[in-house]
Amino acid sequence: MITDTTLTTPDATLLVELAAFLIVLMIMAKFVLPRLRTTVERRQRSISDSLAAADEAERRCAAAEAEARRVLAAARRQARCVTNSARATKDELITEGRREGLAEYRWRAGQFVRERQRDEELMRRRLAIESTQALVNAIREVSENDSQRARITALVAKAMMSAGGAHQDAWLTSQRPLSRQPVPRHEESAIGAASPPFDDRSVE
Amino acid sequence: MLSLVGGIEGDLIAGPAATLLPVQWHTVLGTACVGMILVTVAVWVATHASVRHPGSMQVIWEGTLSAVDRSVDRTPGWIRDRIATLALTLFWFIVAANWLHLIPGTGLRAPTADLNLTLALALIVIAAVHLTAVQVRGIRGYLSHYLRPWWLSPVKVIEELLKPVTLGLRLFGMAFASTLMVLLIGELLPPHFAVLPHAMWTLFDLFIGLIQAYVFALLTVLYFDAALPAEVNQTRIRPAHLRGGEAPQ
Repeated sequence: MITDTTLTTPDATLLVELAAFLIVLMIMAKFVLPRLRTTVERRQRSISDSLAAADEAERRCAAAEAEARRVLAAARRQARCVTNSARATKDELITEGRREGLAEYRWRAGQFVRERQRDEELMRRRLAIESTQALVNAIREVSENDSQRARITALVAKAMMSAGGAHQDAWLTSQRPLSRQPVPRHEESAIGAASPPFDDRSVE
Repeated sequence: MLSLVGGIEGDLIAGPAATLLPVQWHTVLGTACVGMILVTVAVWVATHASVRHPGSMQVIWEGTLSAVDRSVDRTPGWIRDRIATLALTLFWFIVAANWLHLIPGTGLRAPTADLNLTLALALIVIAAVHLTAVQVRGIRGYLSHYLRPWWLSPVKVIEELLKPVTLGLRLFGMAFASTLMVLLIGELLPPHFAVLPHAMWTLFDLFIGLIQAYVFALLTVLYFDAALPAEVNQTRIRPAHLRGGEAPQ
């Protein structure tokens, strides 16, 4: 048998095998491999697109980070400006308040000094009037008649007149019972005008 | 022993002996099965190919396709497509043919154990190589390629004539030896003792079948590489010292 058809002797099977493989090759070349190639190319394109998109996203992310850093720096600069401005405003307000407070203090202190001087003057005048009144009363008691009393009263009034209308008014007022009464405007202005100017240095 | 060998031969070489055009119907049947399996799997993979979610079969097919494409990616498009298509089809066809006899219960033999198939594949490869060489170089360039230097022309011609023979016989020898080993294991060892050697040989046969298919496809690419002009063909698998020079001997 081995001499009839040996394994190493080609026969008509060769033609059948040729045809069979060519059919398979044609099917593969026509229907299979193009599709597979298309799929591979589409996947490679998809991967390339994804990589490009990733690069683009990375680039945009870097740009966004740079923008965020820039905005943050600008915000910090602005905040620093606002803080400095607020600090300057605060210092200015403090200085202004200190200046106004000092002026107010000076004005109040001057007012106080003026009122004290006026009160002292009033007290002096009242004391003088009271003293004069006591003296007049004493003289009246020791005087013998009404004519002497009237004459003493006239002399006192004349003395008051010579001392000034204010003294006379005060004295005439003092003929009423002694009580705290508002100081007349003209008298206050007279006292204020007579008071010495306030010295700032004493306050500070 | 002689009777045993005779029995194996009788089984392997069964077929009409004295017809005008003898045909090995076992081989034809095996080849038809291989073709149907290959086409079915390939068409299924191609029709179910997914860009985003490839299956395991698709990954394997695309991997082999990409490997073949990478090995010939420096050649012009149509040549590359021709080489890649032929090499990839040969690879999967030979893998399927080498593994066919491992399908249990079918009684099919590996069609590569018949020289008719391996020689047919080798003839197709060599024909495609020379056809492509003629298309690229032209008739005059193709013929003059064998005349440089003129005193080596007989050697080159003999080499070209021997290429399909060596290519076909290499694969046939491996497949025939594999089939013979399976039969020998089944005949020489008792059934209970033959299980382990048979399993081990089957695993080895799977590996050898894959390697032989790879070698066949690789030689196909190399034959194309040798036949095409250096400026056209710059395949990566060609050794660097041979690129732009003579074809590998």
